Amino acid sequence: MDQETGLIERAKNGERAAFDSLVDMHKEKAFALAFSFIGNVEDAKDVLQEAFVKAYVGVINFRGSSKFYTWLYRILVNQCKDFLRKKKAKSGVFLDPLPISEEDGDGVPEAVDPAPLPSQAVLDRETRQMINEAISGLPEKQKAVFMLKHIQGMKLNEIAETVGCSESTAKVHLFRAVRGLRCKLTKSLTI
Amino acid sequence: MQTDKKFDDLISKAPKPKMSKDFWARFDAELGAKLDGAEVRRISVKSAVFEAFGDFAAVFRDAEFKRALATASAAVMVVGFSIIFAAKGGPGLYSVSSLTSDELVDEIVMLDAYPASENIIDF
Repeated sequence: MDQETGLIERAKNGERAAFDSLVDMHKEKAFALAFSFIGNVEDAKDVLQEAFVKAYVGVINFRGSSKFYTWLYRILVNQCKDFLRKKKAKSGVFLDPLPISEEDGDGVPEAVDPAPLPSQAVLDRETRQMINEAISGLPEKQKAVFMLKHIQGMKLNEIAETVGCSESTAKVHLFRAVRGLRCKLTKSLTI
Repeated sequence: MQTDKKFDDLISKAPKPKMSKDFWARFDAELGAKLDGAEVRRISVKSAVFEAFGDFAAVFRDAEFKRALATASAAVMVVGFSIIFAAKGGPGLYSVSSLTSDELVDEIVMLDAYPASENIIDF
């Protein structure tokens, strides 16, 4: 955190290299968030770049009352929402096949058990697809809160700061999102 | 229960996209170009503001302008003081609503003595 604080101060003084370092620290997780909203790689890349440009211009106003990534994610979430509104797209989460780095060699997605039973792997893929579609059908705020919690692993107070609501409101959004998903998926998931 | 556990397991293990080095190289190059553009815009806005301020300040250094400003200030002060002292001298105008009933009757009597075109008091 001290290293980041130093970088932020230098970035506020106009040092471009410091901002580039901040980008390197946060770009992968931020891209995951953008991709989960947008649903395709190129658009998520563009939206994330625009968010970083806004952050670069606005960093001088960053007061440090919240964590840097919370502030950055807030810009990014707003950019994603603006993008989706403009496109009027109901993009699902992970509509594109999940990008996998070729350097991994075996081409197995990160979160999947590398040696599942074939039927279990198929079931997991289908279930994930159903979950993805259900998530994409959530209202905007619920979707944002849900993805920040379950995909980014953020705490509720950080989520509240990112989406611009109180912690109790964020809890309500999360509760409704999970309840909505459970209702939609209960009939579809194998018991 | 099994459904809930399965749901929670899958959600908690939601896969994150893993991008290649080539993708990040391209991302960095494109972002760099966009940040360069933002920097140019930021500098040009800053210098335009400073330039405008500099031009404004330069006007006050001009001798002719200083002379004209002094003359105009003096004229404003003369006119202003004249109005203030002129108002203090004469009876001036007053609101009809400030008159007592007797004073109002006197005014009406005076009005009667004047032609209608000269009536200036509007009830």
